[in-house]
Amino acid sequence: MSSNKRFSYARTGDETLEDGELTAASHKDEPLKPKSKNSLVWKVNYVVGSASSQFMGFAIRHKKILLGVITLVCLSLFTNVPLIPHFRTASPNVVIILAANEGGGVLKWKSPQEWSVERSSIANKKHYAKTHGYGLTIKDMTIKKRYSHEWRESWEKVDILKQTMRQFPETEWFWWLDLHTYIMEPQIPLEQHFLNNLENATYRTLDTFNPLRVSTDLPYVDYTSPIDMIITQDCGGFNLGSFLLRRSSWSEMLLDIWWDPAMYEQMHMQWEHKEQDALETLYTTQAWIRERIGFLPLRKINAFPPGACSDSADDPQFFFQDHDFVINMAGCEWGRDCWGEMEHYKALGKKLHKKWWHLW
Amino acid sequence: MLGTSHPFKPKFGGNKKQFLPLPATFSRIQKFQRKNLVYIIVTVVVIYLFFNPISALSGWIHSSSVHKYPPPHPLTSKNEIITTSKYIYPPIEHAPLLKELTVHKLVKETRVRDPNFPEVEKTLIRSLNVFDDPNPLLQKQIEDEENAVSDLDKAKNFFKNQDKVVFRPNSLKNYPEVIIVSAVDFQKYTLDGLTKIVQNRVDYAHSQNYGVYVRWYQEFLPILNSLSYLQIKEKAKWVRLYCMRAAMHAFPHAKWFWYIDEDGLIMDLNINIQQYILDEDALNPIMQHEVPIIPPGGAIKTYKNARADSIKLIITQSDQKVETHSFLMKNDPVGRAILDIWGDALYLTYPNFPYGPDSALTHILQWHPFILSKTTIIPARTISAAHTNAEGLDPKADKYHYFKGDFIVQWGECETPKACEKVLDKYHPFIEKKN
Repeated sequence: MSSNKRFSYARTGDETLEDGELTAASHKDEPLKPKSKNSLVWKVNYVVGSASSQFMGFAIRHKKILLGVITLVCLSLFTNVPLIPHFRTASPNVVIILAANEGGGVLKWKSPQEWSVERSSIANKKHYAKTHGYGLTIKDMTIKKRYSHEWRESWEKVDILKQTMRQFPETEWFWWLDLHTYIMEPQIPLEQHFLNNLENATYRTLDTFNPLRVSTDLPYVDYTSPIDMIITQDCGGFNLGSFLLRRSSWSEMLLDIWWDPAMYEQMHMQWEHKEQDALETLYTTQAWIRERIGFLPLRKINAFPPGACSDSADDPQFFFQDHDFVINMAGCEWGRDCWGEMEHYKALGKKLHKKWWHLW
Repeated sequence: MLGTSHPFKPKFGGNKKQFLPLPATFSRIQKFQRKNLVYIIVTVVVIYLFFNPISALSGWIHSSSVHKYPPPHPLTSKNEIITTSKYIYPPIEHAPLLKELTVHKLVKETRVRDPNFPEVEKTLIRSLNVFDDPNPLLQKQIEDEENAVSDLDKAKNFFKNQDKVVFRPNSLKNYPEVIIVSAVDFQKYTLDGLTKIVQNRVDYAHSQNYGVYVRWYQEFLPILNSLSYLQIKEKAKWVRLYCMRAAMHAFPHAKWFWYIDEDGLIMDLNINIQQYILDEDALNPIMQHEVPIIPPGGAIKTYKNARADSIKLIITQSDQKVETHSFLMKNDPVGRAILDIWGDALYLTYPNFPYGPDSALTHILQWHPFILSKTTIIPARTISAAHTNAEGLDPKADKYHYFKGDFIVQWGECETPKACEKVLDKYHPFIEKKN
């Protein structure tokens, strides 16, 4: 209360109407009775002034300490240097979307191995996201009633992408990863891996590698448009186990159009892989889809273990080699041992990153 | 070392009496040097960490793309014929020759069997452009020789080449901002009727400094892939979308594309469509919010808070459905994407779309909220006033039919070519010319 009073007292010049005095008179009065010594403004000025002069004195005396502190603060805020705590308020540049619990829910109990695989996969992505300041969101893909109609099965991917884009409204890139993936080289940031050099890292026409035998030529396609989606091709066509999508009106439209009942009604017998086949069809016929999709070589973000793509087992372009970025144990739940593979690659990752001074 | 054993001394002067004193900081010069070194190291580290000149350098080295991708090309050919005229239309006087040739001579039909279903035989319709010589100069030479000999060949060559014609002016100054697009059918109207229709578009474009893009319906048979589609009124409507897409390729820098079907005339050449509809100030008040897509009681309605600056597609509505006799599309990536998906092959062949592209659009707007948010419905009498034979209608209350003074008249409901031509002749004398 008292401070309020004092405040208004200090500002009499502005509140003449309240006091019932004439403005001119009060202005005239001001130089005659200088209240500045007691006024709050003067006090604040004094405190700020003395503090700043004290600080300047301190700064001049301890230049080196100050320089060190400023450097540390800058390193903490603007870089990813290790051993320094990093405070981030800005939203991440890349958000990793990890699909957990795929197909789980009411149909069966989760076995201990499945729990273990899930734990390893999540821990791996958490570590990666933390190292590089990326966001991570783990999405539950249990069977839900609204996807139970055969036409809507496995279309959750689209809904989850839309939902995540709402959740991180500032983020540019969204990296979808299936559960059975493992980042083998977590020290590489995506920017350095390919995002900063997107045009050269990707290929846009399917002249060189075209497992689907899609017509490479489509009228009206303008390849000068930016790349808004980055996917890979395996031996059987597009692979959506690991792909990136950039926030743009294009991706908004793709997510909206990806599932269409009139198209799906005609094609659901042919489209075995649902959203993957739908995207392939869109890529085949739609110029606007084709002009913004960039392809990465499979091993760049989505290398396969020897069990996958068994029909072309002698083609090295699909299969993991040491120091590939990500391994995707695609299809391990169909007759292969997910847990065994996961443990194998976990151990391999540890071995590859063993420091030279660790002798055993 | 230097500092401790041999303190710095001025080189000249020696024992002589100095006429100037040493500077005050002279004896601390070594200390300064050591300090400078620290500063330099810190500065270099900071600069390295923050600006990372090496990665910047590598980025600069990588910036030249290693990939070369083909440029966009027209529907049926990889070659383009460049024109600097902003009025692109086929030679209308060839209409009788084309009719004489019949469509069977204007496209290439082949019977093929699908490798997956060998028992089913399909007809594949391709443009004659597939037989072009890859060298455009050589091809032109061949065609010139043919054209000199036979008028029919000339008509055929012009017909197939119309797809390649694109507008590429020497400078982008004075580029037309709006392009009037029409597809015309030489089997429906007489030469006189076709001339009136195309001349009307050209007159309007000329008076408003716009561009014109006219094509034959029959040129899009390779996409329709069925000769019967052009015989069925509702299915022939699909050509509107493909003609529009071709226009967007021919005029890549125009802002808006306005499709007006052949069954329609611009009745007032003085109205500027941008001031009348396209500008935000003009569009905002006439956009219809919360109108059902399927009138009168459809569940899905246009958005309440849609704004003119986000609109890519402008359509009208009759009392039963959305109409595409006359519609406007914005020429930007989203606008082109909407047009592409609207004309998708799976919609084209879908049997449950009785009104062709109108049904497809109704479906798209009802299922895809993103596209719905980019689309607006405006009153029909602005760009699509319908012709009627009924008498005594009230021009104040009627929201759909043409009255004197309206911008556009369309007679898409006419049944036979003869009846359509009659309506055309009825309206043609009353076009408001430029003052």
